[in-house]
Amino acid sequence: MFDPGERLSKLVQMRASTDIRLGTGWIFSAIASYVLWTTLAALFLTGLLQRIPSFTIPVILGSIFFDATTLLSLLGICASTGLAYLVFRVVDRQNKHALRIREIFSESLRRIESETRPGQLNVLLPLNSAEQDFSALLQNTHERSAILWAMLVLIPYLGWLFLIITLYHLSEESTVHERMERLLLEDLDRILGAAGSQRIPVETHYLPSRSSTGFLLASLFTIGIGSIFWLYEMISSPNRHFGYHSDFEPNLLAAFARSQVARSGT
Amino acid sequence: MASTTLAGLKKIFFDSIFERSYWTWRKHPLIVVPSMLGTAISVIEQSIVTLGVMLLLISLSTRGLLTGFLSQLNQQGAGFNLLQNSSYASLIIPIVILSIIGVVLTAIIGAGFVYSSEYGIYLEAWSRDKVSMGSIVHHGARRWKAMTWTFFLSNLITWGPLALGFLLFLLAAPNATSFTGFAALAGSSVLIYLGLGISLFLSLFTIYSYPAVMVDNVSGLQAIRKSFGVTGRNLGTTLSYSLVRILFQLMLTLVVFLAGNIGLPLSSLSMAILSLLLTPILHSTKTMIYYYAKPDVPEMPFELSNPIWYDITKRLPRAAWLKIRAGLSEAARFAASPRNLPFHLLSLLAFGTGVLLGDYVSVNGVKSYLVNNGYVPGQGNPLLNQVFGPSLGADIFLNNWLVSIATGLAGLGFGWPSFLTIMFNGFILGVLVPLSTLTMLLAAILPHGIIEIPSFILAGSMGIKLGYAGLGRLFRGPTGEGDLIVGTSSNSDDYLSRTLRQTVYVVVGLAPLFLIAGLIEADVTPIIMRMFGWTF
Repeated sequence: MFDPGERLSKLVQMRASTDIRLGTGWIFSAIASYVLWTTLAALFLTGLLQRIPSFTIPVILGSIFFDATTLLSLLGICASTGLAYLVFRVVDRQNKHALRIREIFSESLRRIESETRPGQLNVLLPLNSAEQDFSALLQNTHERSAILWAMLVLIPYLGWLFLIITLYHLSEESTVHERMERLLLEDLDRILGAAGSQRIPVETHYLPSRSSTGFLLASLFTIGIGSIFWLYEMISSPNRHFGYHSDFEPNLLAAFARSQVARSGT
Repeated sequence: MASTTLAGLKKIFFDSIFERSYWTWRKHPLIVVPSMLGTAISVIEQSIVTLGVMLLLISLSTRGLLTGFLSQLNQQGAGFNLLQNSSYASLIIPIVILSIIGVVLTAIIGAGFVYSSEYGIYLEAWSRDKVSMGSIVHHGARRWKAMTWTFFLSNLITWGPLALGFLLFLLAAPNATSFTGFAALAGSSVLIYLGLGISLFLSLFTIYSYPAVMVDNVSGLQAIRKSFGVTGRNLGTTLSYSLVRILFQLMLTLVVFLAGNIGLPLSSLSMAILSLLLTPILHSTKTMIYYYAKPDVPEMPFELSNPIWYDITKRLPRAAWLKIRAGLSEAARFAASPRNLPFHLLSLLAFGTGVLLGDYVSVNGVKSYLVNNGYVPGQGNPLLNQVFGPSLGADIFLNNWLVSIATGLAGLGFGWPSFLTIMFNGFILGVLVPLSTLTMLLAAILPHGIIEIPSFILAGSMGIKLGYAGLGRLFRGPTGEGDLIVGTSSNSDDYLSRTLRQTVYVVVGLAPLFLIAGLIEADVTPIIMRMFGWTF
């Protein structure tokens, strides 16, 4: 009954570019950044930093002035750059995933709406519910600028506070996204069922169980160490969600396509 | 309905626009030209100041007043004392007033031309497959008056509160001897911070004034009002833009400062990144945020682009090298063409005149002033011992290259800024001539100067040619036929566009020459200088 169209197929194909599984090895840049900046602060506060001698190292065609504060700061910035890149990837991934899903639902609902006859109440009722859920999804999901948050995380010391804020937003929004997405999928499943098409698998047993507030408090009380575990969680936990998407999206396309075949056959 | 819902919740996402701005910059490298023109405006301003200083020194020297002037310069309250002397004041006051008027006018009018071509070309680059150098000139010529007026009003409104705070502080300063006077001073110093706060707040709201001139064809208060409206409706996106811009600059400054501390000078690299990469991309982002904020423009479609970082590390260096190679060929053709001989000669004349004038003022007072103030003949810059040579070489290269880019493009101001910049470089060299023996001077100049000086002269020559094209456009108008150099079939607009394109290619192509010269200057010249008796 419903034509999946080229746009929907394209959006599903984009999954490979948006739902990226990040390597957990990147967490070491967060650890290195934390260790270097805290070492610098500890050395400074204990007065040891001031006692480290500075000297000039002769190199080819000149010299490099060895100064502990500067070198530790430069190393810290290098490690923080790795951390900022990781934050950029995590936020960017969530944004792009959310935008793609928004487009998939928008396109699916638009297609169903355009191909549904006015008297088809068994389709129109769940479609109305789906549109309300879609509106709620739009209102409740906000894209955060990955570039801005990565730059903020790069600021020495203060950046750690921005990392915690970023993780809190990401964590909260991914929970909202998954909840809203499940509601929409249930509606979509009912629409397809009512139209006599193939059903799509709706994941009912899994919703992220992490507590954003718990992680937030743990990060603050441990002076930032907790945020490393939180960041690890935010790198790895979306993988399960993406795994689910790799199941339902082809099914959604197939459901649309099969109903198209059925229509052309009748 | 899903589509209606979407339309009601139009979103402007900073990252998508930033990413697309980067790819627009990659697709149309020409969009950096207005940014380069911006640095050229600074050169024009500097050349006005330079001209003033040179005129003052030469006039004093010809009247035999230079030695007395320089000796008084070191004394406390020098400025006031010098102005008390009528023979100095009659020279200083008119030169300073004329220089200030010249600098302010150039800054405002130059900004009008540069910003109108800059924001116009961003708008064009986003929607077209190809942008031409002619478009840059066209946008500048079409909207420069509107942009100049907007630039003036926008800056007046934005920075007026801060200027007012400063003014009150300055007015209160002389009365600080009494208690009430001190209280007034303290109050006005608080007003400076208040003024700063208000100015920063206003700068967030006037941020889209320049894009408004090009997108909506408005000017002055209307453009500012539109900017206020867009910021008010898109505060989050505007804040993201402003913070990203500030943070980029702060992080660059921090890295430059720290690297400088361990002997790795990176300030010129930071300048190059800012003017050739970040400024065009960020300004393009700002323009497109404004464009997509318009109610009749639909939301930017969702699309994925290739990762930027991969492009920067893998593809960009090769693309840049191809442009530099093309520029090098263009520079060779420009240098060798007999038709360009008049421009080469003019540039050479500027340099030679500068050397002679510099030598003249040095012999007549500047040399003794420098020696009396601690300069030891034969003593090189001791900082050379404290830096990593190749890094210093790279820094010198980028600095000289950026200066040559600005010198070449500053020629758009009818040639004279390029002429003056080259003359000033010669002037500095001329001042140095009497400070050491000829052998020592050649040992310090020749190893790198043999490449660097002709490259500068070539950039100046290109600038003078650009100025000639600009004059042609001014006097013959946009449709004027006939041109001495390019033949009768082209009009002056075409000639100006083609000369501007040639200038960009030539100055870009000079990069390898400046790199070689910079590396020699930092790593080889000091060795040769030591061989000829210099100490560090």
